[in-house]
Amino acid sequence: MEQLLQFLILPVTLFGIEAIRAMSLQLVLGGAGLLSLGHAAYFAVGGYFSGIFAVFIAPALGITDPNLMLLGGLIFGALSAGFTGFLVAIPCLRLQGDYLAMATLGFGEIVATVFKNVEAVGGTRGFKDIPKLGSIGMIWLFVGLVFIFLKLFYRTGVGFSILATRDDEIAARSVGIPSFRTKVIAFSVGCGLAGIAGSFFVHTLQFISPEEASFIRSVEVVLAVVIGGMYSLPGSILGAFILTAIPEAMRFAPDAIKDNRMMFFALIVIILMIVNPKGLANLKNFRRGKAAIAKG
Amino acid sequence: MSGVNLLEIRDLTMKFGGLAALSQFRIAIPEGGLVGLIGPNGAGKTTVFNMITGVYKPTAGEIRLRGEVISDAAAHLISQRGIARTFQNIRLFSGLSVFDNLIAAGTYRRRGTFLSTLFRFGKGLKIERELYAEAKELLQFVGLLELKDSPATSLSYGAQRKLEIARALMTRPKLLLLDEPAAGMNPTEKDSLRELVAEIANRGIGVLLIEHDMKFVMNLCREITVLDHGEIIAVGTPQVVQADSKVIEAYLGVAPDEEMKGE
Repeated sequence: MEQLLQFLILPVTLFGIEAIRAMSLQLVLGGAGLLSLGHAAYFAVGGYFSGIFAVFIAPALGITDPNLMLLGGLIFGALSAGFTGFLVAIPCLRLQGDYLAMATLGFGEIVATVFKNVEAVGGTRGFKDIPKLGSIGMIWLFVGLVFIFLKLFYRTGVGFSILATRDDEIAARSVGIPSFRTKVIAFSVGCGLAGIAGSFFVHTLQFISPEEASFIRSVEVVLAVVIGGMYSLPGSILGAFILTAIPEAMRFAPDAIKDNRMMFFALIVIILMIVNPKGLANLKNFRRGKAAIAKG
Repeated sequence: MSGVNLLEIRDLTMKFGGLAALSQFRIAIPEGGLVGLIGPNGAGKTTVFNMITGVYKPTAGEIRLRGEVISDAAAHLISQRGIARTFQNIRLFSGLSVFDNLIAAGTYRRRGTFLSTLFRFGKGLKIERELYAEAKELLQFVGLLELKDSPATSLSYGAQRKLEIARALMTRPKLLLLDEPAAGMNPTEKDSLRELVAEIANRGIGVLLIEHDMKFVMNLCREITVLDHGEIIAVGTPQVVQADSKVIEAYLGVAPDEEMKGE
């Protein structure tokens, strides 16, 4: 029993981090309706900058207390990721749909390339020896905080502006909503929250590589959000669970399946999109709907 | 301020490429006035709305709201200055409930209250309560209060049009532009809509109405402007306009042999 619990600590921690990251994309993808294929890049920016804070900046400032160091890393990581998102948003959000997806994908790759070429943070070998900070409890506290923050955020004026702009930009402008500014805010806030996830990630694994900013990682986050249900925050947590639980469960599966993890996810997504396009979070309503049809 | 019209448009022209969708358009709406804009399909009526609300930038001409030029302002700023509209092809916020469609239209009044709304205290909470109360009032006004929690797109066609009007009113406009509000409605719905529009004008809100249903316009408006092929062909009271030979020609078509040539 003791052993099982020990074994579960890391996966459950990573699940929490993935949940924060998925919720951060939920705001961009489900809330604002912007298909970003570079979301992992902002996660990586948050991670790298949080690592930089702990390794280079904190010692210079004489900060040794681990909690203070983590707090600084979280703030520094979130702000740098949010600011990077803001810089990317200004040109990209003038584009729509597929073009926006392509542009965000391109910027994600640029971020990965930049980290590959900065030797101070390990270049292609990755950023090593980052202090271990935070705990499973603290990460899950943040899962709760981010969840509550977003729930409340959607009820503010800015939140309603985001949802209205997603549904119809022309109508949103016609009721006084500055649609471009609104999209930039949604994108930047989403990226900032991804930075928090990135920050916890580096202080858990004590390592981050440029691969974390790559396209395939971004696709994984999109999968988590879509599997769970784009328009649902709990859905994103559910999607994050599936995305972390399945690879863990696959440790015991034959190699043929293990090596084709992404194919397996793709299959889940295809089936889900056919059966219930609103994602797992909608499963309850889906069955209720069917019952209603059967009755009617 | 007396003598200044609520809306005054002069020599408005819109060209798409070489094609003039609208030329030398002019109209004046007094405070609280109810003015009709009619014309056959493709006459340029919706183009007028799109220019007033900043969706299109006019090629030439001037639009003034209470004497101030607004022809160069962005769409959201024009709305904030007091011009609201509905759309010919209904544009509701499809992912939101009936009630939330109205709340979304009140957002610009919540500027500067982000933190107090987020953490639910002070000014943010106060304005939120005001908006919620106002939204309920408006839903009551258009007769959709019982449906406030339904998804906006689940409403009937006529109800969706009324919801668009309520959403537009939520911005507290001085001028309301209605783009074929009675389209697709049955006679009973049309009657209740007519009362609604009359009541809106009674409240001191200016209304510019595009409508195909002649009876509807003639009953509501004291002044009507008729457009055809982007040009004004008649202006006047319903009686004058109805009797105008150009208007009859535009609506009923020209002599049969000419019509054959046209096709």
